[in-house]
Amino acid sequence: MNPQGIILNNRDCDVLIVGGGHAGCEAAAASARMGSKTILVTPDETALGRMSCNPAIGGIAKGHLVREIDALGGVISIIADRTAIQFRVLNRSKGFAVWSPRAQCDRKLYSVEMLNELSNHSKLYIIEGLVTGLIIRSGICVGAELENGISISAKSIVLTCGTFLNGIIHCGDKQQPGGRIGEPSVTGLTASVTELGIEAGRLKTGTPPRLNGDSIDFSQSIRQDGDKDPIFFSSLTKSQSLPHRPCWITHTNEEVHNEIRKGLDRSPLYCGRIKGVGPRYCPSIEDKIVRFSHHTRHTIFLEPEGLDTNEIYPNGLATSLSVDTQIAMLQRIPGLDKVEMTHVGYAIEYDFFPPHQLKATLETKQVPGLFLAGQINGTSGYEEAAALGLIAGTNASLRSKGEDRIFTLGRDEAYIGVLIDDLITRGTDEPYRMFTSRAEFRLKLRLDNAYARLSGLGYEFGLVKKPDFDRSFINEKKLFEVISFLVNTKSKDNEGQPISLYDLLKRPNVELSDLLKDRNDISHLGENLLSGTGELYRRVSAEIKYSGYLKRQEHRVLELQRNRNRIIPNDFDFLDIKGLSIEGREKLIKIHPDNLGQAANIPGLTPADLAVLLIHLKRIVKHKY
Amino acid sequence: MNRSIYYNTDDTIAAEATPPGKGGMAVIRLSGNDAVNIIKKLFDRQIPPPSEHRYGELINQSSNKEELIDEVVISRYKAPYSYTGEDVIEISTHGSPIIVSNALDAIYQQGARPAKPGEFTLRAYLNGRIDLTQAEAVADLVASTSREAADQALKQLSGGIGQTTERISKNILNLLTQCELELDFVEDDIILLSKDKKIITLDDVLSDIKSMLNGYQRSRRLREGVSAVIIGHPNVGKSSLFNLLIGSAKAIVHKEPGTTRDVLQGDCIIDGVRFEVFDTAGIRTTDDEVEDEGVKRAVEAADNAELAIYVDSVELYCHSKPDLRIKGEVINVMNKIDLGYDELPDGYIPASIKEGIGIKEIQSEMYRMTVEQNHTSESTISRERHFKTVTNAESALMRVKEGVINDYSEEIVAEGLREAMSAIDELTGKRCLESLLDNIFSEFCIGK
Repeated sequence: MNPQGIILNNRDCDVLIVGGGHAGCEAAAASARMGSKTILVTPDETALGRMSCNPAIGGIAKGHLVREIDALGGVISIIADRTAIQFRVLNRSKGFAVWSPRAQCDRKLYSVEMLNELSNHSKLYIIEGLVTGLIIRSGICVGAELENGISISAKSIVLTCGTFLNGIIHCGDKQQPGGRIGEPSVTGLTASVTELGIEAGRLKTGTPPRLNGDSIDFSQSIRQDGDKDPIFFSSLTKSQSLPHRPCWITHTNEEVHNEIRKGLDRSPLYCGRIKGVGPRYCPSIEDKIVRFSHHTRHTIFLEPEGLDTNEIYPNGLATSLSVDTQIAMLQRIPGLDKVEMTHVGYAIEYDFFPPHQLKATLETKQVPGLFLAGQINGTSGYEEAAALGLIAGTNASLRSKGEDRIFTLGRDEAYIGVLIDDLITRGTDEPYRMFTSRAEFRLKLRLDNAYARLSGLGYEFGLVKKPDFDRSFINEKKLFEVISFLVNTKSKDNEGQPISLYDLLKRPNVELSDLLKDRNDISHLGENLLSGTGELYRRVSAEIKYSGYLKRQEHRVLELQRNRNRIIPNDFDFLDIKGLSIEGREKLIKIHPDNLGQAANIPGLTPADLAVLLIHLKRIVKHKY
Repeated sequence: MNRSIYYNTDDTIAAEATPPGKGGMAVIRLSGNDAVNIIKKLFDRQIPPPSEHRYGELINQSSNKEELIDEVVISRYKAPYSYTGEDVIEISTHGSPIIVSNALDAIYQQGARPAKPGEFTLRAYLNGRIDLTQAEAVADLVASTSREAADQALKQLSGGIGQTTERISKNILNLLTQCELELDFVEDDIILLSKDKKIITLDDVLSDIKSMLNGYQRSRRLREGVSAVIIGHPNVGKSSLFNLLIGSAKAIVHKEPGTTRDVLQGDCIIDGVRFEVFDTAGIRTTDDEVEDEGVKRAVEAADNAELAIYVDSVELYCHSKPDLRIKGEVINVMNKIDLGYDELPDGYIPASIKEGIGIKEIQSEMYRMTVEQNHTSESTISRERHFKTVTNAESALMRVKEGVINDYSEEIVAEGLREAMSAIDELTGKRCLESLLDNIFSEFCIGK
């Protein structure tokens, strides 16, 4: 089958995805799953899902995003599991709500597997090419033009251009256009978007140099292995398929810091050449040394890039210092005195479109039919990009089918919901990264209940296949059985008072495995419960351990849902409302939230503003019916 | 929710602004665009210019014949310089419920709508005349029965509870930041607060919260008054004291023990604080069923009172004190000292109610025990809603402290801090809670 051949004969499609990064792949897969004829255009189909920065998927809060994507039938979870060479759960010493799975992946295999996976989607066609402009008819986006003159018409278009739009790569006092190292940037597309009245901004991110592992003396660093009982991202994964590789931990020291200080005069960051705002949570090494000068050392993780390569990714050393400074700095790190650099570290500046211009569906408010996802929405990270891609692809498909339904998630339903709500209501002035602290309902949005939270909705929209949905339903039944057993089984507490196992488990420092050991009446509940591992075990423990907190926050969940149901009509004129503060009115006009729930998340709106808005919305409803 | 604020805010509303019932005068308030037009049709003279008053007759012209409602004074306030921020007319009538009702009927017939509870204040709020805590403070001002309660309300009106809550918020936020760092930045090199430091901060917050809660007791008593129950053996002079305190001979006083059967109630004001005083049956074992029921009620009243005044007499003080489980404060009074005595037990106020001795001391002790003792110089909370949210914050913080001491996982500790934070936000109105708004505005009496 030659997809390109098919496409050349018929250049019409339902959904066109521009870009094949993490957002583009997830968007394309979602749209195709929904049954829309989908075309993905990428300059290089072997670079699908390329990991431009660290060779890892997941991590704190990001692992939650990946699991949620899996619960909605997505691909990032499957590919990460398939190409993982180390699985490790972060926060393992803490409660189940914040357990965060992370995997080191084989960078090269990841792209190979992504291409394989997407090729299996029957409605998805991948073509190589470079999109240079959008086709607009009557203010609606109806297609895109390629560099070679071909135009593709589509009912919905999803732009996922990553760091490629007017990308400039900085390394010391040198700078050159580029979208990633060795890949050209895209110059025409930003202009064709801003022409439509969509505002653009500038962000910055950075990546460390890559090292030849053969030139590193690992004996001077601490070996870090993965988990023996890994937690996979996807419910479909049964075991780790690739061999395991360790990471290594080392540290910088004052000598390293001195080398960096010597090179600061040629740092683009400190000479003012970089205008874009970088992420505060992921500063470059020179930034760390300047801003935290009292720290005598910083931790560096030496991460393997893959199975058949000795390349090492030194996590924690992102830098845009000049090449000679990078080498001098590296060679002062213990074990790296003879190190060879395989790629230089660099910073990249790129265009993004401030996300307050998006609806919750990720369609632009200005241009019907045009959806944006990934880093151009102001996020950072593969997982955030993939989550945005999933939502944009799904809604692009719904729109192409002419459906009235939209696919959105609330802050109480998923990290994905928190991500999008934050982006569209608060905007962002640095690359946005997900954290568990951003989720008000952190104890509710867990890995172990992701399928319970999302599979039903995914199935309803056609994102999740029947067997996968059925499986999550069966798991719910199991959960119910176990909880009933715990409620109905009496035991005795330390003082000999009768108490149910359920109430006993609520107590701190009592674990489910302690309660179940030496019992012979639980075999019907599943073998995993006894071993103290497995999703069901964590699910039961979390539901019971957190029950007091979950119950107390129920009213806030309800309030959020009520606010979300208070729709602000598109033609609602905030100028008509007396009593809004000047700042509040400006923000509301700029962002035009879809509902009161979104409005409540806008910074700068006073409680009085929200009350005024609420009362006027109530009046609208009253007048209508 | 049975009552909510589905109000139209464009029409004209009217209601009695003074408390219902007989009084020297009553005030009816109209607010909205049509306020002036409506009164034009009912008033026999020109409507006064803005910010002025005019005397004249209010006449009902609905049923073909003209009917005098009352002689009134009309005051006019022009938007936005009025209580609600809209055009407002205030009509001062004579204080008779019939006149007020007739006047309102006429006004409604001309197109005004009866105002719902709190709706004038709601409009003031909507039009940016006041903020949320101010709205509550106005409600308190209206309801205040004493000058001190009025002061309290005024203090809150000027943003009084802000300082303490700001300090509490800041401390909670600091602790929460620590937890969030431990959860979200595990692999970063971050130096965290020690357990001891966390507990010190927590204790600071808890003591701030405690002082707010204590202050609530005082301000609630200033606003709502204090319940005081007179209790003791039969025939020690409880009813005499009761009559003296309330300033009328409401209770029958007789030398026969067991005269008082039921619980009697009367009011007295001491230094501006209202005391609701209860006289009760003397406590003794009796075969009389009615009296026995009275004794039961007396014990119950004493147990639940904020203040119990235990009266004994020198004739009887060899009596053992009856078995009571009084939760509130207790004042001990030794009556009938005019009969002569050898020595008084500790902690009793010597009194002769008959001779008027010791009454002042009893009154000032009533005030001191219930209001003065709880006095804190810090600004404080005054409403049930505030009290509830601060209590919620307190219990969340107690859980946090337990968690920190016992090394619970950070997400649990953080959740407690988030709960506390959300309670404090609710207090200051940082969160827009529909139910909160509904409650606030439904607490107002009609016309304010």
